[in-house]
Amino acid sequence: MSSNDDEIFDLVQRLVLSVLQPDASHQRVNFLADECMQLLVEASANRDNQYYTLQDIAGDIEKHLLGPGTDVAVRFNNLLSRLVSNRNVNNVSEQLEFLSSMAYVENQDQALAAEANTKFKVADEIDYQRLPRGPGSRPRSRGPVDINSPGIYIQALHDEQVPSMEELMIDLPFALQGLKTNHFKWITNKNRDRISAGSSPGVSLEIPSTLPFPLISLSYQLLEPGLLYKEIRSMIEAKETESDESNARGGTANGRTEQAPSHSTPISAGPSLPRPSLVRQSLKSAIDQELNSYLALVGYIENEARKTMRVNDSDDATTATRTATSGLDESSHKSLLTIRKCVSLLREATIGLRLLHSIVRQSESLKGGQILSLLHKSSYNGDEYISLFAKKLLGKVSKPFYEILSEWISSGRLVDPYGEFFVRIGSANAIWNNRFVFDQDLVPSFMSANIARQAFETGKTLYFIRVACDDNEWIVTRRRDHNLWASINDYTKLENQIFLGYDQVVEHLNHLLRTKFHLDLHLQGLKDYLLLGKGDFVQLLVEEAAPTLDQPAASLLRHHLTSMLETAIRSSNAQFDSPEVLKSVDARMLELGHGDIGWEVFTLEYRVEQPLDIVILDSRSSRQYLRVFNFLWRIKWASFSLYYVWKLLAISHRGGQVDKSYEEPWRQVRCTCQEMMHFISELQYYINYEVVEMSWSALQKELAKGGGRLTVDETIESHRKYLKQITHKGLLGGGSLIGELHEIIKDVLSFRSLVEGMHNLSTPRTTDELARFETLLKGINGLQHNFATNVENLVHKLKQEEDSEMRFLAVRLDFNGYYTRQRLLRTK
Amino acid sequence: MYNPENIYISPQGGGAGNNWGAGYHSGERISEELMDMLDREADGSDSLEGFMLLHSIAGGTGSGVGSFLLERLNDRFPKKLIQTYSVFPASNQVSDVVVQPYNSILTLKRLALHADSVIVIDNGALTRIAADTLNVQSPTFAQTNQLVSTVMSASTSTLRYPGYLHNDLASIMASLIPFPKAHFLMTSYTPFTNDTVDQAKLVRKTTVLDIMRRLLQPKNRMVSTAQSKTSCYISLLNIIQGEVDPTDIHKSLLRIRERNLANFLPSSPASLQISLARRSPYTTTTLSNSRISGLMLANHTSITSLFQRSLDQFDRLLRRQAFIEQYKKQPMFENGLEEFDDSREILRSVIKEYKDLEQEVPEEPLEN
Repeated sequence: MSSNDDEIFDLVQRLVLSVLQPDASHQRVNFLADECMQLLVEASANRDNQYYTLQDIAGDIEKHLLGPGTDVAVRFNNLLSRLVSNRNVNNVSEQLEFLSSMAYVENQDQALAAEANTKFKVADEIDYQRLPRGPGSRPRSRGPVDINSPGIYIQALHDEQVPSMEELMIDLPFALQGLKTNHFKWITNKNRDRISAGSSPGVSLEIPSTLPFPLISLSYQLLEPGLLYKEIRSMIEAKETESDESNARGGTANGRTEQAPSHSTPISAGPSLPRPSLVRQSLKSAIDQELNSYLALVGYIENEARKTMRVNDSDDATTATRTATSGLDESSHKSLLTIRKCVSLLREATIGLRLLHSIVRQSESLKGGQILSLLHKSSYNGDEYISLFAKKLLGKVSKPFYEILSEWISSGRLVDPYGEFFVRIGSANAIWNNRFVFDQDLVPSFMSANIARQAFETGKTLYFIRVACDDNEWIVTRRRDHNLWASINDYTKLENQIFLGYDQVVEHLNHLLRTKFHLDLHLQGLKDYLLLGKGDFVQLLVEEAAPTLDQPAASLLRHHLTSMLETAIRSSNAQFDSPEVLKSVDARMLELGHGDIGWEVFTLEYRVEQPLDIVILDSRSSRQYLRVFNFLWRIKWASFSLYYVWKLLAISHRGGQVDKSYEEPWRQVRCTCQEMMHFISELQYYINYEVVEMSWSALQKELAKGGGRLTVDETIESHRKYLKQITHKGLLGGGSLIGELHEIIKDVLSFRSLVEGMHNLSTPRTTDELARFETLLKGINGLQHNFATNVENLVHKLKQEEDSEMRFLAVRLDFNGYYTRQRLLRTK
Repeated sequence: MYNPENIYISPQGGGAGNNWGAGYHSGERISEELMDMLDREADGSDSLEGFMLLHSIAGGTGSGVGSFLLERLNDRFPKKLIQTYSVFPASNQVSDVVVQPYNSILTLKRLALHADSVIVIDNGALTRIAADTLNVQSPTFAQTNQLVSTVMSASTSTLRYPGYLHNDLASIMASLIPFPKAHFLMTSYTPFTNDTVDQAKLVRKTTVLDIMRRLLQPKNRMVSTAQSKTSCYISLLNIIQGEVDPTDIHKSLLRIRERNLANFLPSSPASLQISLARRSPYTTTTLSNSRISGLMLANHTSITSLFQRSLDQFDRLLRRQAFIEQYKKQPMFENGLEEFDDSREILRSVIKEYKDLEQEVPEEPLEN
């Protein structure tokens, strides 16, 4: 407690010293300090007695100083309530008490109270965090001073102040530029190692502790831009040196370094290049510009200051300084610079610098579009000045972004060496799939998601047209003819252009795909050949190929297959098909291991060139087509064998030379044949009409949507959907159905050889032949049994399928209820 | 389109005088010329699958020569299919040709033995349908021929404008004729429009279900048969022409099944088969594209009623040995009338085949 008292006394003493003339005697100082201490102790004692509440003090003041009920008293009450409601001002009662005691001592009027009030308001605006602590607390400990009038008090302030106004005025421009001066010292706080976290680099300014109190608030205002300037400078320069060191390349500090990499190799310029990004560069240059104009302002101030000096030198120095700097008197030298004038001159610049400062700080970890979003957000600030400032800044900073964007939507080139655009390269090896990736994070907030998407699609499609469709000419012509993209800087115009450009590009894409690359023709071709849509061709191919394909797979030669294909094309309606399609069809063998006999390894192939290999026949789709073809081909093979068996049976019956004693066995064979034929033809109908045709018409509808204007992705998607539908409904979607189905088809295929064997023996004579005949018949009966059970199971399973078409297959297979009856019989 | 060299007209004019034997014999006489024509055409074909023979069976228009040709085709092209369109006499009216039953039975023997598929059309039904569609009581030959040609055109549409299925004759026949002996088919066609038949009524646009239902109605069949309780379909194929949505087919089939409009043999799995066919791209009638039409090809056991009737008439005549003298003059019957008995037996066996199929009941009656 006592040390605390000493400290207080010491402070009071210093207070008294600062207020008195420097030549005051030591005794007088001591006396005044003692007096003050006395007062303080009394005051605190009173407070301890709970005597002095706020109301008491207020009442006291009203009674003794103002006279109750007068206008002045009302004003005082008003002021007081405002003071109380201001939460930032603490200890209202203490301060009021202090003031009232001052009044008793010096007859001070309310002006001082009002000034104190303004002081606190100013103090609110200052970020205490950043300002030196010492002087901030000074006014509160100021004790009573033995000075008789406010005029004298102020006079005393000016006369006693350590750095004189002139000195301050000389230092000021330097301080504003962040330079060290005699009176303003910069402190770099090394402990605050938060640069990377995006906070201030910890620079603070020390204001001379001897500065009088009204000037302190002014200097806070005055020097804030200097502080901000220094911080901004150090931040952007730190970044620059950082990147310079890492790159060993001297990026100029001021000039806009906008050397975009050469257009021919936009891909090779990886986004990992450790140079400041383009947007950042332009941000920096914009900030530089702003800082330079700030410096120009400072220069002007300096000039004015010098002018003021000269005037003062020629004039009576003391009065001039007094009148000029106090600003309280009516100054006759209006053109002369005062501290207050400086403050007002710097006001706008300060706001601008504050904005810049916050932008620089916040943008540290951001890139490209995100920085633009940040600026865009500020441009919606309610303050008109800030909003305009941000807009101006945005206009400058977004230039590189618009350049990238315009290159992207006019030619599909991604000239973005620093990865700041919202389009990224996904996989550099691909031509289409995942070639470009859309990055929502980097879309500047002034672009709507829809527009950004469209811009993305436009560029992607243009890339596709240029690279996959090899139609650079159109792009070049379009760029030349429609010089729209050269001057994008206005967002509303841009939106319209993107819309227009998008439509145009997509239309051209569809035009290209359809006319130059025959998309429709090839889709039809795939359906006709791989999905066996050209019935007569398939029929002939099967007939033509059957003798060869019955042979073991190992003996097959590729040219046999191709010549068979040729023959089938030439003798069927396929010969009238477009050469474009015909040259895409080829026949080949699957790798051995798919089966032993020709039928099992034969496959048709359909080849398309770029870009259709991306759009409809990528490796995945090819595989699917192949699967479907192999399945359909197997069914075709089965049906071919059945027709063969049927013809054998029908023709051998002709002329009526069948031995009556063997009628029954043959009857069984015919029944089996009929059952199998029923199954196979229903299956074929189902797959051809219910699956392929339905999916096909769905595909046609999809492709015609929106006047046939589909993006590449949409086309790919609808084709994939089509294939998926076919494989799924075509029972190829996995599950147990396919197993049963394969069993069934296997039974059908082995049926043929058994019947052929029986047919060769048609009327067995020897006992050996008879035995063989019996074995074959037994084999057929076994087969029939197997087959019927499998079909029955399949029908049962199909009936439980979700898909209505698949259930319908069960209905067709069991149209007359045969399998239902069989199942009932069996389960009994 | 037709090669005039392939048209044979008897230089003497006239026919065989309703005598099957005379026709058959004259066929033998001119066989060399006829086979030459056939050979020439067969050689010129890329992939010859079979033959189509059009004739009537009762005598006068191809029963004799037709029968002869059937036999010869069978010998000459043992591996080619033979399909005939055979016109049967009207059942409900007394014919002016009294020996019709003789001729019919003799021809039917050949149809049973040497043809793979016979499309049976009877004059009575033709007249009835003509009256229905054309509003004429006694249609001319030209008019009834138009009906038949419409059917023929439709039945070959899947061959001529190939699609997925039924692109060859064998596939159509195989799906219709599981048992070779039972190879007599009946047809219906709807609607007859003025696209194919002159003076036909204008028909409003019809739905798939309408077409499929009408095809199953006996009155639209081109052969009049007596339905019995046991008669049923062995197989059934609808060829639908025009722009059809497969979903409509789907729905129509479900309706038909629900209402049990088509009875099939219960002893084996069977279903109403559908083939979708395109129309000729050369007919540019505006209506024809949107309009659909259907042809039914069916193997129905009630066809035996027709055979049975002919057989009864034949028996009556033969019992009285009526008009037999004319036949005895022909070379085939010089040594006796075994041919008559033989033919009769064969026809009886065909009838039996159908009856057997009808009577084959499932091992256990269907529950519910």
